Amino acid sequence: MKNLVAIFALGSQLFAQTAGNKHIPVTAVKGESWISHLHKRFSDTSMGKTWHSGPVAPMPGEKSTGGQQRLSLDFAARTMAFHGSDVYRLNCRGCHEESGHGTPPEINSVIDPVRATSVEVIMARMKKAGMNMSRANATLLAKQSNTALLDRFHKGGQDMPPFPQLSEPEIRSLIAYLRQLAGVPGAEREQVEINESPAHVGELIVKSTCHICHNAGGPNPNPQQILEGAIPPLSTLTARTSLPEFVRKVTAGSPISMGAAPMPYRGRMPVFDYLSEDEVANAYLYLTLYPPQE
Amino acid sequence: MKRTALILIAVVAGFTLAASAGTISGQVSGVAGPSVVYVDAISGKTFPPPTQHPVIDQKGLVFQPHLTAVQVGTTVDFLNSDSVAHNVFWTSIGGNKKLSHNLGTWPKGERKSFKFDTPGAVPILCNVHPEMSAYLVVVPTPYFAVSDQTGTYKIENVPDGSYTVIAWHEGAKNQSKPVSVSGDAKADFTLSK
Repeated sequence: MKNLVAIFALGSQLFAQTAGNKHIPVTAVKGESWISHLHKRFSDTSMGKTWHSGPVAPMPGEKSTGGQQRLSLDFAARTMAFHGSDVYRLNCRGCHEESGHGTPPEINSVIDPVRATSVEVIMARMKKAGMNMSRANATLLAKQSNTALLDRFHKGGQDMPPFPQLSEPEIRSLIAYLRQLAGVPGAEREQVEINESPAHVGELIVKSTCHICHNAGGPNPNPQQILEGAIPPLSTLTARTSLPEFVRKVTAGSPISMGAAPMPYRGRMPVFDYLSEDEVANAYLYLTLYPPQE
Repeated sequence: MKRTALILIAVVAGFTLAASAGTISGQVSGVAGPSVVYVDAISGKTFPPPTQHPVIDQKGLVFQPHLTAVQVGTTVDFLNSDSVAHNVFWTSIGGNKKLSHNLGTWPKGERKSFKFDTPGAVPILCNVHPEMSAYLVVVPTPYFAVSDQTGTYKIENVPDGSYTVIAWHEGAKNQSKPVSVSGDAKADFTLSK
């Protein structure tokens, strides 16, 4: 399987250059996780949580059952057609949830800041409040809110990481989807399609979702340390997990051996059932091609 | 002899001060939450604006405080203590739409100042968060108070004299009353929509 990845990896590098992200080269994931950066413990934050768990550990003597996987043979060589909804799924949903409401007060809703970028929404709101506003003034307010929203993607905030891995076309498609999610009238007609290379799809998943909790580098914890709450680094992932194991772990969950005398436990890692198997395989491919850095 | 004269002057001055200022206090009822009670413009009198800047903060997606009163000419500092961007705008002052203003959108830790030169109520809003609102009431004299949650208020150091006192609440019509201050005075208001 590893050979297969290596073969397709070559092909995908060619694709990476022709797909829609000319301005931002794919780079390795680096440094500490976002929750390490914030000095938060995995158990005390909603960041990176899907609230879905994997299957319970099998009883002694029982065989662990894994579902049938349907990876495309050419997952590593196929350009994917993405919409803003996919950009949201890979980059935002791990914290802001499917609805965009997040988990306030730790994770703020995206809905109001996005609605604030719409002239129509502002004018309707003011009319309802009995304080009619001119289109010119509403346009000014909408522009300022749009600048604040773009700033958020580029610079992040106190609790939100910046997203330098997103290209301008991706941000444009993401904003179009956010407007649809926030119920801005007519936003469904603004949706645009973009082409993504496999390595970049993997990069987005790893940097925007995995790296929220997993450090890029550092020592691999032993089973006892994992039982005590240690989170393994991304740098050792491809050495300790095969591609099919990884895809199962991320999309469906699988038990993990923990403790001084290792026993199978239900893993703590959230299950990302909203990622396709091909997308997760691209994350593995990306980690192979661009080894994480300390 | 000189000393006796000085003491005499001091005593007379002290007596005059004590006799010439009082407190207007009372109760605003018929509404929930705080109101502003203030002495209306006094003809022929102007007051220097205070140099202190009251602060209206944005914290936890709420304007704090919700209700502020200032004397006309006061500069108010608008602060953002949240980790998200906030905006401050108003569409009118005292119902005058020509006095609408947009202070802009700015990140955590920064403040923007604005000098309020026209009396009237200012409904303050944030474009980013439609559920946020606050009121600033710009009043013509330094004699004003924001009542507590139950409507009890106290305006101190009002010179003796006859005034028009006005009670303002965000959800009700203003009510005004003649009040004569000679020492302490009482004025209760019952507001309605």
